[in-house]
Amino acid sequence: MKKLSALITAIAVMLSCTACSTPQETETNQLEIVPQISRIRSICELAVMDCYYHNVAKSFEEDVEGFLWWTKDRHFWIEYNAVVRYGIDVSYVNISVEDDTVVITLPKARLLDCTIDDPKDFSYIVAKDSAAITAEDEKTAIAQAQDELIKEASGNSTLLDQAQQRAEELLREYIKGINDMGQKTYSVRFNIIDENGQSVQTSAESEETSDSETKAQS
Amino acid sequence: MNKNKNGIVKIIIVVAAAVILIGIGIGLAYHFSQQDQPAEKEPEIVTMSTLEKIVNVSKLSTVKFVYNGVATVPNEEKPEEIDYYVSYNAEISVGIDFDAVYFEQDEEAKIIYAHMPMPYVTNVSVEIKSLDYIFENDKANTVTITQTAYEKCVEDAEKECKTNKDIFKMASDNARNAVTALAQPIVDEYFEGYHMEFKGGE
Repeated sequence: MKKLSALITAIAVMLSCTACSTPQETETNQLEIVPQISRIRSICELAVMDCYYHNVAKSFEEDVEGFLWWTKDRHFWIEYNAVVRYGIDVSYVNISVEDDTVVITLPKARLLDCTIDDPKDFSYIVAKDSAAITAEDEKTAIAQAQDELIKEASGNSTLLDQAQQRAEELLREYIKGINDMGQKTYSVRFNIIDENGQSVQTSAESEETSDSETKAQS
Repeated sequence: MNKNKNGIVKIIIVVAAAVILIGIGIGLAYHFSQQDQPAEKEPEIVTMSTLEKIVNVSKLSTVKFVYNGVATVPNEEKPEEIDYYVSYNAEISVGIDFDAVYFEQDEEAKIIYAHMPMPYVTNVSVEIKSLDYIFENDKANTVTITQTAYEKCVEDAEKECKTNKDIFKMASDNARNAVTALAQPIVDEYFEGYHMEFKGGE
């Protein structure tokens, strides 16, 4: 009798252990796609935004020519094209995964590059009573136009915001794709840093659910 | 004989109890293990429509460009003569329908083609307070000038939008980069040996 009870107990223990190990095997067999820093960085590189920038540089100098009360101003405009590039400096981009939350450290979008067209493509508008425009005047005006463009483009909050949102949106979509394809559901939080690496803004956590899940929830 | 019978009954009861306990044990173990696990999703079959769903991001559909231009305003009576030049600051919005992007798979060449729609101008906005003038005809400088000049600036910016290929090229390049960023991770993961190429949209 005692032998029989011992045998039954042993079988029970063995079966319980087998039952417990099954999910672990399942877990290792699951398709798990993990967010990768290399992928995040290449998305940030592709998130750069090239903007067509058409601008007018204005030059006005008072009384540059003349004699006694008879004077002339130098007044002309230069119309030119430029391409400005906004984006994220990828060398500061990082990620950490805390449980099911992906924290993406992202610097603020900034002006990455600014290229003005060849000066031979510029168009000039000279006021009818303007003093003569010399090559030196043109050179100065072009240099001034370039400085002004950089200043203006670096402070253009509409385009900077657009570049920032573009990068964040593409990264959100990347995580959403992982959630759709893989077994885990990650939420995303952005840690925005300034040029000194200091955190300036942390976005609220948002769960990037797939369309089908969103529909099912609603 | 009776003793033997009692013994057999006892064994049957013990075996039955053990079987029930084992059943309960297995049931509980399975139940708790399932609670720890997130609900398993159905494995996704990745097709061209999966890629189309991924790139359908409406928030990326508009890009804004700066267009600070100069409009030339001719004399109404003598159109060959110029009354004045007026400079203005404008913002041009260009749209791309991401939901019109579609993919095509060439199994032989191992290429996934992304077909892009053409970009189009959605809005032109001229900042009225930015107007500045160079007069050729001083008599044109009247009280009604701002309204006329503003209309000419809007006309000039709209004309520029229709003819300036650079604006569309840049909007198209930005859209292609966005589609690459969205679709490339999926192509790399699920379409081994394939690469992406673009068609249209320029």
